[in-house]
Amino acid sequence: MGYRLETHLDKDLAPFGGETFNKCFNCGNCTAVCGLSKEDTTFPRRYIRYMQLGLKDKMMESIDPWLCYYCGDCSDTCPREAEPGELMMSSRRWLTSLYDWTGLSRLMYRNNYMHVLLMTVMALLVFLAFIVPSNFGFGLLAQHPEAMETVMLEKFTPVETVHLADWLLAALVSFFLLSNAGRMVYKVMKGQKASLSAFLTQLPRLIIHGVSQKRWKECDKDVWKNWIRHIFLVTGYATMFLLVVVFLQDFQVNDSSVHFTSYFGYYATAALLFVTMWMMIDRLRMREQSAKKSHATDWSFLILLFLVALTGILMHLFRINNWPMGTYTMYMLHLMADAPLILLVVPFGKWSHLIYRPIAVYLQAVKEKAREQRVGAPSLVTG
Amino acid sequence: MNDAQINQTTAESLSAAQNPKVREKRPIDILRERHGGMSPEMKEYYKEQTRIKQLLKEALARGAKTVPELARECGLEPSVTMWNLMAMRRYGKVVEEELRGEYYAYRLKEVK
Amino acid sequence: MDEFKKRYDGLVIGGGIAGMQAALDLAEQDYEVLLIEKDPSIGGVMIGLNKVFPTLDCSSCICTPRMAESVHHKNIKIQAYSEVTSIRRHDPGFKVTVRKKPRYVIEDKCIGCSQCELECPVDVPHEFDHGLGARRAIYIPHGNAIPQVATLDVDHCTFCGRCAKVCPTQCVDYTQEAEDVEVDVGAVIVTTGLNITPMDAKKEYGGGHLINVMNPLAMEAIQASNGPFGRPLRPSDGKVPRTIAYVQCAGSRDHTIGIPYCSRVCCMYALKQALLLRHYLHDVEITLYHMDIRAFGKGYEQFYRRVMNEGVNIVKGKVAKITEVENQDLLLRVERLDEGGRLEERRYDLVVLSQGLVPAWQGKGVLDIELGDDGFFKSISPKISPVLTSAEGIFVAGVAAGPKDIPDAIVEAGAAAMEAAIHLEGIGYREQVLTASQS
Repeated sequence: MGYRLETHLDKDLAPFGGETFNKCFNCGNCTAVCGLSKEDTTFPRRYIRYMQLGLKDKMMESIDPWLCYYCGDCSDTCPREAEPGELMMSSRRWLTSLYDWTGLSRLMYRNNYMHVLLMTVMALLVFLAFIVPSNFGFGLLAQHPEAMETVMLEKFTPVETVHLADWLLAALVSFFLLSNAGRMVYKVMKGQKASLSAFLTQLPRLIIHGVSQKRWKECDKDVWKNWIRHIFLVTGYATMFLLVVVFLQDFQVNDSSVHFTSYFGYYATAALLFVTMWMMIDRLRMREQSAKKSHATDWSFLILLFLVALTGILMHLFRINNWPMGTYTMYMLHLMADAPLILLVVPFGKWSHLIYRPIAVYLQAVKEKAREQRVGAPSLVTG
Repeated sequence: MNDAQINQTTAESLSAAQNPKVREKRPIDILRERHGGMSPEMKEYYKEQTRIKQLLKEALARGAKTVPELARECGLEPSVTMWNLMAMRRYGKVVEEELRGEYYAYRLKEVK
Repeated sequence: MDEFKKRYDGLVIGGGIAGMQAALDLAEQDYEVLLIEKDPSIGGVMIGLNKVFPTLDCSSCICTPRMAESVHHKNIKIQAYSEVTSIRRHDPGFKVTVRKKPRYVIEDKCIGCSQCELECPVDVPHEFDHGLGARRAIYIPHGNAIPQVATLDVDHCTFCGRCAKVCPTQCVDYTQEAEDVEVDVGAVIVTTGLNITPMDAKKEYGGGHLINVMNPLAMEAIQASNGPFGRPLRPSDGKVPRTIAYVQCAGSRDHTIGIPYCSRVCCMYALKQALLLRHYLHDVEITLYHMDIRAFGKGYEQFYRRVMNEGVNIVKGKVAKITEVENQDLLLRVERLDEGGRLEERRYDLVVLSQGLVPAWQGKGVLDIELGDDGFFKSISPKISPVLTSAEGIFVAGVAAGPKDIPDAIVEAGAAAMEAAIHLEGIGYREQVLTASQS
């Protein structure tokens, strides 16, 4: 089987952060020092070799970058300062942009101006929806002066409308995310000859890894820190997602009363604020390898998530203190931050790794299973 | 310095040693004073070394042994045993005997 | 030349093979040379080596004649166990202060009989064996030491006074003190050589705490017939090693330890040691893990092939981690690039880290000449005249100028001697000094 060599792959990779691969002289230190690199799946050295040789197809087929959790051991010990950890990170960005069929992802990753512009436009659209005279937002508020005296969310953002929008958004995002994930599965499994049973029997892994993030624990460094952060992030976000998409009728309380769903909201807010601040501080301090280099998309992800959580909790506080205008404004700001986060960052940006990572672990298991089925016994050596 | 001078100094030092009333400061005392005596670590080191050497001598007196055997018998770290045994070997107290498996055995050198 | 004069034409700092060569080459041209060595004996690193690559000559057999020649040369004054503490420009040459460290032994009277050493009650880790073997607090460094006189290490002394009692020539002098001597010199040649990369440089390799992870010079010592164990054994328990690993680039070509350069000798000395271990030990398995083999000198590539043919395993892959397991064996983790990138964890009895070369001396506070980025003395004309430093009249040769092997060091030492001679003639050093002393 022949492979095409991309002679200008370096230029293609540069905007994603992968400039250092030419420093590597393939000693294999990174692979051997990695706690996650196993006998049958060795990375990052092999993947960096693909980069050097311009083996774009090989890179597309590989899930190695997703199996790396960026503890930074490889970069810490790389004798050439080739930063293998950062190369894996930039490859994840690159792969994300290639899995996406719309081209939006590639646009955002390669062009910081477009990245900011798209997000701003998205926020402005939400802003417009609130201010143009209509049966929504400030438009609706004009028809109900009593809602200016006391918090009456129903007269500002009718829960049915918001809920419907939520559903539409969820469907849209799921469509993009799942179609991109489908492309990932197709690229990776193309020509792999895995049986349906291999796919089905390994399915639980997808769920288990997505929820538990337990692969973090196999890393050698900062295990607890990274695992706890990701657990909080996953559970915090999942809670919020369920509250907003499924239980909005209960969660969006009309007046300044307190409903028990708030307690779930508190957990989600605390988790999200805590983790995003922690991660932003790390990125500012630039101590850990994984925090030393930040792409614009890393920042937009953290900042938006932080703003969403912050405006959410402020809105809640203003509401229970019965400050109508504060509540309504925060509601609007909340959605202005939320829209780019959900519509851009989740399917096309940094946050898409929430689905690519578990899929990678899953596909790895499928491949192993398929190999087992083929040869009848576990084989550990890959060429 | 010629031989006559050397003989003279030797004679002087001998007479000083033979006459206990003349308790002038010995050169070694001068050295000790200048260096504030043995450091506490050095004292501990010397004491421990003497103890280990004694243990090794006693164990070897009962027969030739390899380093792990000696270490077990004396309750010492194998590396400590090894180092001290090799020191004894270097200064002619111990000689290597036959190979036992993966280790050489060592025995005390007979004093003629 | 026995007496210490007030003036020399050349000063050579460092009595290793390069320093001796430079001193000899200057002395042969009838210049008077002062050679300062910090250790009790001259000979440098080379006298501690077992054999040299690629000829497998016995190292001391070719180093000791040079040592003897230097010490007996009528134009060379060797001052060992001394340090240069200041060099000031003093036209037409330099004023140099040499600190003679106290040996507590009168050099001229000591006959090197070792009576004091045999009598001394305390064993001390011997620097010459890199701590593996023992010496006494008063000792003669090794059989080939020049000068062949005893030195008292006062930090380990028990002050029992027995050495003085047993000395047949009454040469032990406890009242000695350090002495500063000033001399005038016309030119300086710096041949201060190397240290190996500190063993604690890489924490992934045990940070210097693993007893069976050896430094390469210690391996030279235990291979030598006068070595501390009498044969190659492992230091933790005296086991005859059955599996030995060499870890190449353990102390150079590594940005993480601040030593990005290639040390140029590690591939060859490791191959040489591996080959000799195959000769010395029955049924031993030796694996050499490398990033690439750099066998670039005359006959080196052929030597590399010979080592492969004689059954040393050569594996591409940098060792990432060494951990101690039971019995103080060592577990190495490496990606085997020769086997398609397979991860390997293998257990070894003994591991040798092929440490790199770092400068032994950077002239701090003494010698104000420029250093290169690598920390070695900088050559201002590295291609055309590699022994010239940023200071006129000061020359550099051997590993002090950058990592190199013995033949290269010797060639460079010769060049430095020649440049120094040209400099001395150029400034008319002898004539100037003569005029100055007359006026």
